[in-house]
Amino acid sequence: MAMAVVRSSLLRTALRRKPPTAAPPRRNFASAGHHSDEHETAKWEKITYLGIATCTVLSIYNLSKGHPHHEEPPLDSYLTGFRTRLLNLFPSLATAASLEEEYVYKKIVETHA
Amino acid sequence: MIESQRHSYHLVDPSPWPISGSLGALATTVGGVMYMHPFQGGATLLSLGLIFLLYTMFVWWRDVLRESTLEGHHTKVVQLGPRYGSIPFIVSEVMFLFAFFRASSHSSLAPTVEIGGIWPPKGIGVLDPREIPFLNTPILLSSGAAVTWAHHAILAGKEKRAVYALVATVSLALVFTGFQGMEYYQAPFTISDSIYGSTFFLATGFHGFHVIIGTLFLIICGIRQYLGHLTKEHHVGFEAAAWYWHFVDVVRLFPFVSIYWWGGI
Repeated sequence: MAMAVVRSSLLRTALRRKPPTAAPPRRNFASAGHHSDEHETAKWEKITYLGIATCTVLSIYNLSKGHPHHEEPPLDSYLTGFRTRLLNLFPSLATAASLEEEYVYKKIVETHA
Repeated sequence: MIESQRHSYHLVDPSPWPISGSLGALATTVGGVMYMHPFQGGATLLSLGLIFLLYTMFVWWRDVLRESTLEGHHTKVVQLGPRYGSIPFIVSEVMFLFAFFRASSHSSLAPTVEIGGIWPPKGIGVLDPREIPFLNTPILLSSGAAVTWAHHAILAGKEKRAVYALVATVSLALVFTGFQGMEYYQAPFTISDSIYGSTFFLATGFHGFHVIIGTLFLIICGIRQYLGHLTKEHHVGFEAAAWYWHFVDVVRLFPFVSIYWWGGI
């Protein structure tokens, strides 16, 4: 009995113990294992500035040389354009399409009446 | 962490945001269907649903920031959750975009007779890959370098440098989006111009959409860094944004090589 009390009190003490407060190990970059964060910060800052300088030069070159002017893209929407092309290819569909449109329109009017 | 708590886990309080987000999503989908069919009030319901959804996102994330940054509920073990969650999320995004790149390469490797048996299809004038498409690639890669600079600055405890680095990242991202918009405006083909136009705008458009999402994510991180929310020990939100941003800038190489370069010559 005494043994059980001791065991139970030990268990309670263990459960009530505060979680470990020691700081967990720091997470580092795999590629930066041998260098300090200060060194890596300075390195990546330089790489960024180099990238920005390269992109600025490329942008100036690209924008200054002009660009080709293509034919104006069609103004119609995707579905209208698709429909027009389909009807041009198959003129017999035009009658069927207009009949279907009329039917759908009638249905809508009936539903909302 | 609260002193009386005997474990490292965060037991969240009851929150109204899951149900409000669900109702917002329901209103958005029903409103969207109504809007696309001739039903009255569709646009109103869709707008209300979207506003409700955006509001829920704002307040829910506000609560998460309060719990993690101000109340200290996000212990090391709690931080593992969003960290592990980010990985399959980004993998699924990679797969999503690869489906569109594959659609383009599938059509280009065996062009059908309907498009003249050639790639780019007969009658399609394509963009020069050496111009804006090439320029946009180092812009996005440089922004990837800038986000790494920000990460190291946070780890080194250099708060101001981290803010500058995030400003550089976001600026490059905005320049990328601007050039992409210019490219779309000048494109000599539309989304309805054959399988080339469809796959081109779907793949590059979804990539551009991810760039915009990543830019918003980084802007939030920049504001939080400026406010002193991110510390060298605790910056999971930033890490998720940095991973997302590296995914976006590495993925850019694939449309550049397969769609602009290989598909445009």
